[in-house]
Amino acid sequence: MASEMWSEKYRKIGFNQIIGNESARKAFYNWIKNWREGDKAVLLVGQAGTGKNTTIYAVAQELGYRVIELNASDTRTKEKLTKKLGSSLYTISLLGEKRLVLFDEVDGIYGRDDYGGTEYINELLEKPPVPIVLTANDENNENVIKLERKTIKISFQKVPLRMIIMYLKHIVELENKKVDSKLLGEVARKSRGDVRAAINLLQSMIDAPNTIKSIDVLKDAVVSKQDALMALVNEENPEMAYEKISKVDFNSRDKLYLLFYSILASDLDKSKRITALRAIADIDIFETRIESTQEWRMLRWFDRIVVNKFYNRSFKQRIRYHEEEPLWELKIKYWTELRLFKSIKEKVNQRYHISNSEFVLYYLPCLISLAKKDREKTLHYLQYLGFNDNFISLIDKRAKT
Amino acid sequence: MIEIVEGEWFRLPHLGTDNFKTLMSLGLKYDKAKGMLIDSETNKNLLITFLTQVLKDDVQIYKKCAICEARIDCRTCEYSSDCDFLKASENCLCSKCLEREESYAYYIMNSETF
Repeated sequence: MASEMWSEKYRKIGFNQIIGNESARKAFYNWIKNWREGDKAVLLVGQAGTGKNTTIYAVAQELGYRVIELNASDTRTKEKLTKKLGSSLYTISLLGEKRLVLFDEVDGIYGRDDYGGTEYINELLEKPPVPIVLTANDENNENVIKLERKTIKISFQKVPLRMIIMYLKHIVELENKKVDSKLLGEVARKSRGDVRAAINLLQSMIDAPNTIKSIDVLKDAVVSKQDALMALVNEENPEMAYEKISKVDFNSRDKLYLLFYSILASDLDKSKRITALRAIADIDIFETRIESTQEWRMLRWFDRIVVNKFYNRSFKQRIRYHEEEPLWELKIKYWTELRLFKSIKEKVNQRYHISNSEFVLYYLPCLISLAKKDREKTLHYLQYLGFNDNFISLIDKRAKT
Repeated sequence: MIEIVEGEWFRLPHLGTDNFKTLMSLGLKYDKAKGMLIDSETNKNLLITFLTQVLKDDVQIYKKCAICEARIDCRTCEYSSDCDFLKASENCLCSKCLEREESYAYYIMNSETF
């Protein structure tokens, strides 16, 4: 059976057991302890792994609050938010249970300006009936800056590396493992102040001693992007390709971009390009899910999946290293289509109360498939619904291909 | 040399209204009786630059050991190249306390008092 993730296991700790950000934690504790109906909401800002959510849950536990958590980047429309929160905002439970509403990662919801979600949160912030806590990773996000006026901002900073080492030592002792203290130092260095990342890396090292054996391997991140890509496309042995791509010191998202731009710039015929881009799309879905669920430990499979998707494929040897952004003509094409989608976004949101992603994922393919079956009726129907000519001709073009 | 310890109140010579406003805009906390305090909202990088210019003297910000409360000079720390200490939270550990057995237990004991 797979062992529990340590970053989750050691998240369920008491308020005083959290490391770093002492004054920020104290400020949050005092805010919730003295909270009265109508008091301003609080906005906790800080990069991932600085202890925002751990603090919220620990304080809630200590002061007897039940946390109603809404991940803002998943639940975005007013309808969905209302449904999820239900009447719990305005009623006191039979058992007299205190409630706290947590909008996690509000930079997500505010960045997407989906129908009604933003206004709904803004209404709640006017006169909160229960303590409302918002969290955000990016303090420079324009919308987070706007939120600062309506909330009390508490900043969570990176945790100093020595403090992370102290905590890793403690975990190693609890897990009854033996790890060299220099190695703990290297793990802390890699984490750059992100406690969760440090714990995940520590566990990966202990769980998978064959992939990361020692401090030297951690330091051995000198394979260039070009070498890694060449290994991926030329190397016959998948293990060797994995060796190289896993030693490039840049993150999974950058690896995806590198592959994407290289595929776009390579001389592939249409069907091979489609297959290659589909492979990228699959990897992208995996990576995005890790980001949205914050199951960072799954990232240890990322390089394996990349190698697997490209191993033994006929197109791979035609891929050429290209790190720049796509060619101008291609950019123009994407930009024009994106603009078109944006222009219909509001109409779709307002009229049908669905989010952008729902429209693109479910409705758009249906429209194209309907147009394939009965072109005239579908286009006529789209006209009747009020979509503009550009959009209709795009659907028509897609249906023909 | 102006020495400031994070988490401890400090006083500066009178710098005039405009400079005081700038200091406040950099996120310093002010209390008439206690003086000034760096907290999590303070932009420490800009604060050092500003004070160095205004006071025409070197400014050094120290962290405090969360266990023994000793001053820590981050410039001499072996992790300074990766720690981004001006953006890290106020307390750290001195090298002696880091080496201590049960350092985490001591940290928790001290945290209970804050």
